[in-house]
Amino acid sequence: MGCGDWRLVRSFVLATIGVFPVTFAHGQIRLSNVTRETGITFIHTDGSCGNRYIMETVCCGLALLDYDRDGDLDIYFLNGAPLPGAKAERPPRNALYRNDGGWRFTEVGREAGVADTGYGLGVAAADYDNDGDLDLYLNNYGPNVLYRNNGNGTFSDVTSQAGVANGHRVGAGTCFLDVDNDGDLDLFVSNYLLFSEERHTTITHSGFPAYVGPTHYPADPDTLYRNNGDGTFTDVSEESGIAAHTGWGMGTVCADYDNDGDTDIFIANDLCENFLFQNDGTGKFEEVGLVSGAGYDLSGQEQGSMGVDCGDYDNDGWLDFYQTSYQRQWAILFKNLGGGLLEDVTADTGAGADTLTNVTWGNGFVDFDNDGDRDIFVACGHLHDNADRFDDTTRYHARNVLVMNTGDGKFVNVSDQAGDGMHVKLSSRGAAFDDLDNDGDVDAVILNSRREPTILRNDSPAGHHWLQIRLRGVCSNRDGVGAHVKVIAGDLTQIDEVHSGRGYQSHYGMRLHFGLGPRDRVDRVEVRWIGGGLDVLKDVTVDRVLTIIEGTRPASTPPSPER
Amino acid sequence: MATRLMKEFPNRSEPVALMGLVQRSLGRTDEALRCWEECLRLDPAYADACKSMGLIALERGEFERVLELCQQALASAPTSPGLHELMAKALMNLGRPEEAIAHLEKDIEISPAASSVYYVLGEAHLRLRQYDQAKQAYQTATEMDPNIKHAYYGLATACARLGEREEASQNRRRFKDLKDKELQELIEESVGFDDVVAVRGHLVNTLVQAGQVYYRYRKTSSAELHWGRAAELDPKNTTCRTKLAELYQRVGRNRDARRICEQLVKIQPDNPVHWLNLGVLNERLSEFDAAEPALRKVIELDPKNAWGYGELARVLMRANRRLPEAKALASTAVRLGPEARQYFVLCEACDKNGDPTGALAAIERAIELEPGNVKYRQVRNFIKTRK
Repeated sequence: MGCGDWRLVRSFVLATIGVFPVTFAHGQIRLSNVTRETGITFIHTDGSCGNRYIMETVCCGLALLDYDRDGDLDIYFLNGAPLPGAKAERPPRNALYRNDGGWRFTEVGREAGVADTGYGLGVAAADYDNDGDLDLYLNNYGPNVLYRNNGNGTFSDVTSQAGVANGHRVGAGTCFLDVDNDGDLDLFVSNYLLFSEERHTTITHSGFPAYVGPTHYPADPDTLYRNNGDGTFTDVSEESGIAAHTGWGMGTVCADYDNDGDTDIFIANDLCENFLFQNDGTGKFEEVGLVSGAGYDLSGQEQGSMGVDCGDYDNDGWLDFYQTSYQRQWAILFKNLGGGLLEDVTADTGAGADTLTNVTWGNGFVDFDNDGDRDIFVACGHLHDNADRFDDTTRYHARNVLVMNTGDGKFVNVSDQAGDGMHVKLSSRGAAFDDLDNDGDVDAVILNSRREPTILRNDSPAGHHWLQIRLRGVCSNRDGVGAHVKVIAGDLTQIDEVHSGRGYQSHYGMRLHFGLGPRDRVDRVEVRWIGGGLDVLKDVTVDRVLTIIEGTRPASTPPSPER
Repeated sequence: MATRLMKEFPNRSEPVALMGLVQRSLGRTDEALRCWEECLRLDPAYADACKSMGLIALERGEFERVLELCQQALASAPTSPGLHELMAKALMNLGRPEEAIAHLEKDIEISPAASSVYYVLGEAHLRLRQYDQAKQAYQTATEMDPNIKHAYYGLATACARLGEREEASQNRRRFKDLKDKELQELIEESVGFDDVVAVRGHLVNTLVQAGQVYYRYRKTSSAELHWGRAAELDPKNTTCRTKLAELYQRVGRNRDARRICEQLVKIQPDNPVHWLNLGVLNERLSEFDAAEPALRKVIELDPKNAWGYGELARVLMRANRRLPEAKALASTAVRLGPEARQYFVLCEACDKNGDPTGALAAIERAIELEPGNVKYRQVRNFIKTRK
């Protein structure tokens, strides 16, 4: 079937497979700390030596990706690098942990060629050359790096050929997206600030040494690269309208917030209004943060915004946004009202529970209990390593927060009851979420500043059904980045999109996960690909990974074993 | 300093409360809470302690605790401003905007001129999707304080939801302008940021509060010492200077009071109260050439307020200058602020302009308004006798 036909609606009726008994304990989430069992020995460094460079505070994100196409997700940790004054016997490197199954991981960063020694801040993975494997882009302090996946478990640094080094800047989040619907992935790069050694200084808080805030340095406009389709990129920041707006860019997520079929860009900005770049479908953007309500909280207050993720928390068919922030500010839930409008509903929903006293970072809309609505995980930890000494309302090492969606538009804080994984006290930054053991629920990996990461296995009671969907683009980009998926199961309708780069400077979740609660069949799956093509599948069996190839029959994958 | 005060005034609540503020400024909120609890033990009616504890609870996200503390404070100080607003903020965070509105309306009764209360009221209505009421509340806030930037954001949101696109757009622009200005100021502050500034601010605040404790217990020299030190440390602080000026006036040190008022008008040249005080002090010191321009400045800055006209009329009469103008000024003062004192000034102005009938009518009105004032009665008798 040619690409010209994929605007036709197709239906597939799949054979019924077994129905699981409904034995779940409703609303229970249990996340177990399995870090020690995994063999992961990575220790994060921020490259500090007491000089208190600002980039130490925001370092860094991580990625969950199946780099070797073996069907399970591997972990890529960014790392800092020695800053002036710091010495390291062995230079810190980014680490790639191959998933060996059974919750064991092996570090293969050097063999794979991705053990970058630059100062890592943000990361995204995507198949930018549409050759069937995931490439990696690193948004660093210093030159950025594009690693092309060679398809044999190794990568090649193609930054200079591709032309995406982005100068020598302080990076932040980054995302791949198809801005102009031409079938290849373009690259958005969030820039934090214009650092200079001459301008660097330390300050004191109540006599204690402290980091300067971002406003000490000029803000830096973000960068947009258009993919030329031949392995090279062109900087289109000016002509796309992106460079006309300057903020202290942090985490970012790209999503079709207005359901018009193209991908928009949400940038969480530190200490000034967030940007929401609305795509006109051709790769030209209008900044609508203020008009849409995304720029500020309900009171008109800008946040010290850190990370941002999107997901439809209330299953109304519109992607909502969750944005983390600084201490004494809520992490904000923006409900998408439709019509191009977002509204801060944090207080009304309880979605910001326990975030006021923390600096909050990585975050994700994740249905941990597979009950058909998305819960929210928030990574916490102060950026001042001595914050406890001059402010006893907060902590450098803090517990992360988990708020559970009660299904009626509200959230409750279940951090205390959600297992030992939620009792870890460290200073978290990036967080990423996916099904690491392919058992049908979503696990979590958190990068902690100056410490080991936290690996959380989802041990929530089994019994709820689920469906995971992997997209394979044919005319559109290979992994369906930007594609919009609707899953209808009886009375439950959910949507999601494939994102490359999200949360706090991290990457995760390209295989879409839908919790279904007791529903043992999916009536209909719709995929709206970037470019407008629509595929429809009917009567889909559950508790399995479903691969949908653009414009063809879905590839059949066996159901997961019953847990 | 706080420790010294606690030793000097044992078992008094104010020094303990001050210690709470000091601990708070050092980021030791647990210690601060202990101080305020001790303060409440010494004086269960010390509402400010409850309010301070409530502010910390709000910051910590302990919203039910905020409600408890404010209720406790309201029991002893039912008309204390800001307590209902604090409760409203907690209720908003608890997702109970309807109850917040009831408290905000009570706060408006207590402090009808507080723009911040109207701003929070707007937000509560916005949360309830009561856009007309939200718009009205936000508009009131901006009328009271044209620089209350966040109210323009709320106003823009309410107008947008009401379909009033042009008005929404105007308010968005106003909000953005004010925000850009604020950001620019923040950037400028950041460039020159030094923690010494913040620490000095806390110290100055402590000195001001300590001065108040001494003043309350009639140790004026200690109060003067602390406020004077605060003024030295912070050349732009108006609180300590205002208190110093008040102290000097009370003890008859008008030249010192004038010196402080001269500083105040330099720090806040747009504040008519400082100019009024400066004019009045110059009048007391018989320095009419200096008093006259100060009082004309009051009229320029606040043309709807009676006091500038009345006091300028008094200066002209005392200097025996332009008496018809003095009478006209006194008449304006009476029109703008029909209080006994202004009628008394008008009485004198009429008398000096050869209008005994007008003088008598004015003093009769002053007596009506303030029947217990002996001086007014003496003046009336004098005018009648002379007639």
